[in-house]
Amino acid sequence: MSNNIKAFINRFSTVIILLLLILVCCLIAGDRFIRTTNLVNIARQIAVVTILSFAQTLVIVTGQIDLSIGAVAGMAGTFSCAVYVATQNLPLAVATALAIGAAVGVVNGLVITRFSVPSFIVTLAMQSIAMGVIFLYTKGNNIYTIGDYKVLGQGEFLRIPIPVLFMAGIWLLIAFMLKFCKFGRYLYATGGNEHAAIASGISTKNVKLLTFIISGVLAAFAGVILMARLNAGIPGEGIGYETDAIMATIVGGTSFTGGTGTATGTLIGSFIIGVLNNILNLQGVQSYVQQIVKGSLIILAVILDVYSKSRKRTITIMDAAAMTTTGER
Amino acid sequence: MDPGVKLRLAGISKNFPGVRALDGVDVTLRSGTVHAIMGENGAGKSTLMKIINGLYRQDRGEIYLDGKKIEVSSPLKASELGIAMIYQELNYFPDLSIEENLFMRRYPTKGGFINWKGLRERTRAIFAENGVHYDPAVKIKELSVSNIQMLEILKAVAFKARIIIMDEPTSSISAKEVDHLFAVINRLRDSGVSILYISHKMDEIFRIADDITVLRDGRTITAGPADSFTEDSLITAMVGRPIENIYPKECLPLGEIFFEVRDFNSKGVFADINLQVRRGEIVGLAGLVGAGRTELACAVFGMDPYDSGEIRLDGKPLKIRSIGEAIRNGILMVSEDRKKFGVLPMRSIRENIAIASLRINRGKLVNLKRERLVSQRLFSSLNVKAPGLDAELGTLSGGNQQKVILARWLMVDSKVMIMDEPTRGIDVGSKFEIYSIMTRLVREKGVSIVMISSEMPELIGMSDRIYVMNKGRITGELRRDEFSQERIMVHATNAG
Repeated sequence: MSNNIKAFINRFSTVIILLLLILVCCLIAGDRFIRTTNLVNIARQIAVVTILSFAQTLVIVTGQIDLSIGAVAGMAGTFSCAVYVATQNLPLAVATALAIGAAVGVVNGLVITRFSVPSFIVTLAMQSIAMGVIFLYTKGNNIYTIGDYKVLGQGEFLRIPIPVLFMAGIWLLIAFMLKFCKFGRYLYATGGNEHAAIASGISTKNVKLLTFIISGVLAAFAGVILMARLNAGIPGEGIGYETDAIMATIVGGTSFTGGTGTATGTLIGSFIIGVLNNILNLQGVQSYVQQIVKGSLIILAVILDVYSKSRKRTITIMDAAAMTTTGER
Repeated sequence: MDPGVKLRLAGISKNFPGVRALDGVDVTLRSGTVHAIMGENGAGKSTLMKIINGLYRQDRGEIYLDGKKIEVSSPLKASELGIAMIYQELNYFPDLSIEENLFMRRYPTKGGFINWKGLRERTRAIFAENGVHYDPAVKIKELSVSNIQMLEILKAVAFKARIIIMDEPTSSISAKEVDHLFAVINRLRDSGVSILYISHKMDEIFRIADDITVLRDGRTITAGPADSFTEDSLITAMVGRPIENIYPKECLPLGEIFFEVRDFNSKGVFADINLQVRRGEIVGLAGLVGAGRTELACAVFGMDPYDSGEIRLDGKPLKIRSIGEAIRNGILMVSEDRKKFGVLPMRSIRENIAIASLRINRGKLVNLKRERLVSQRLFSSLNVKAPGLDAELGTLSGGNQQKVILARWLMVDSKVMIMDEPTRGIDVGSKFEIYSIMTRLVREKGVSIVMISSEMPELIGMSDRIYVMNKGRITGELRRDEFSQERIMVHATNAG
């Protein structure tokens, strides 16, 4: 019976962390925290980084990393603003962004898979290239007066902010893909043991390529929403988001070595960070102090997660009817 | 107390949460003997060895060394007591040199700094003493597995180990290297060292062991001098029931030639390979380690490229450029390297079983219902010992992992199944189950099986025909009535 409770705690460790955090927030800030406007505010604030985190999650599940997503968001979002200003055609503007994201993904994926260069290096370089391209194009200026484009970031539908709707939609899409599509299985297999995936007939190169394309497209879309929220095309604004996305992914329980992870976990991970930011703001904590607190709490969350996972491992090893001679992991 | 007894374990028990791993185990290790610990996967052998080596503490029971009660609180303590363990998976630092590995944690120092000259001299002295000729500066990663193993043993001896525990030392070395290892073991025994030896290989046990203790389900089942056992009595003790014939071979009438490899060449790897397999036939592929058998299998399976040659399936030529194409044509391979090419450790048993079948089924979605149904059926029929379908594969023992990987390929409709060392490192009971599956596959589905194996009894027991390879060429072909270990060895060592 106590084993069941343990199993439950292990399975939902991130959810429990989130709930505890919310409880603490309620105790500290009371109704200021629990107000609907504040909760909606949190969701709105994390929408962009959550979409980027979904991109990062997919890539990390395959055992790779994409450091270019922040820069790609900045580049594609700003280009998209430029297209909108020039044509006043919203679908065209968004489509341009997505195409740019896909193109970056193709380049990342091809270089990584065809030349066997580590994704860390390739996407780090791509970060620099993307920034260079967009600053060259805008000559370092921001793009203002983007008009109705801002609806994508500031609008509401049924009183729910549009970025939150997009976040929810993409969450469902990714969760469905990971659970029910063959491609989801290929992602886990590729990240879990690439040799075994190849020996099972999976073209892991194509899997990785497609993953980087999806990552690029999601990053570009996040960039569109980001610029719309800012009501301007600001090229450098995306930088730094890639690390936030890594944090949310890892806090959400995805293994950094690949092979595990879920969209829901990442969503929760992102919420944990969002709630943390929010409560620190509500309490009027100085922003430098906030950074320190945030970083420390994230380390703590990951330690808890790793600890509960290693516990789970030893328990299941023993549970395997004492049938193992492999002994410790 | 008998002065000839080096180490005595009395009533050792160990519980893990929810599981009794050891339940009052007794072992008596005499001085200057090789003592085999036998038992199926999960019988408790490894737990017992870890207790002796100080990795685990027993819950109950005593350990006596030279008649004195001892507490082995850590591996460090064990090594102080003269107990050393040679692990199944060797622990070493690949990028450090032989001498650095040998003296890890024991570097000679001078004024607080490492004395490199002294290190070199002491390494040379150890090598001279034991009659080996390694260059102390060579990096470990440049050595073969058996060389590394030899170094581990040297290390144990050099640091005054009187008891050496060896966990499946021959699982990845060639027959010749086994001979060398046994020579070393014999020398150690003559010098009074006691050896606890774990292995699944019967022939080895009878070659090397003086005493045998059999464990089953965490209990000592029987113990005694090796010559008081026969292979059959040993199997019965380990499995708990007699297995009439460990090779459930049925000689069925064979169909027409179904699968052919013609004039296969890959420069520097194998040459002029011609193989024919009939429908429902089990063809053995014998040879020494490094004869090119695995490489040939990988080329046929589309995993490695080859220079020239033709594959024919059911009379029609087939071009296989990728593993995907091989699988779609019903040609499957169970790899020898389960860890590298088989197991997805962090994923569930169900996902591991289904992963190779996904590509064959239509559509983009996984049919979860069917997947659960089929994998559950395979899971039960293969008798996998695990908490359930959703357990992570990495948490199972080797033999059970192998069954899951086999289930993966059974889920795919196969015409030709290439099995590379299908029973390596797994216990007798599981071996028997895998042989039974092979028999069922050929009888019920008419599958053609190519079995690569280094265990001759297994080849002789299960094959209808055996090809022997040496240095990348086929050097012999034997019909079932011609099978003998001697004939196979002649072909395996002749240049053809």
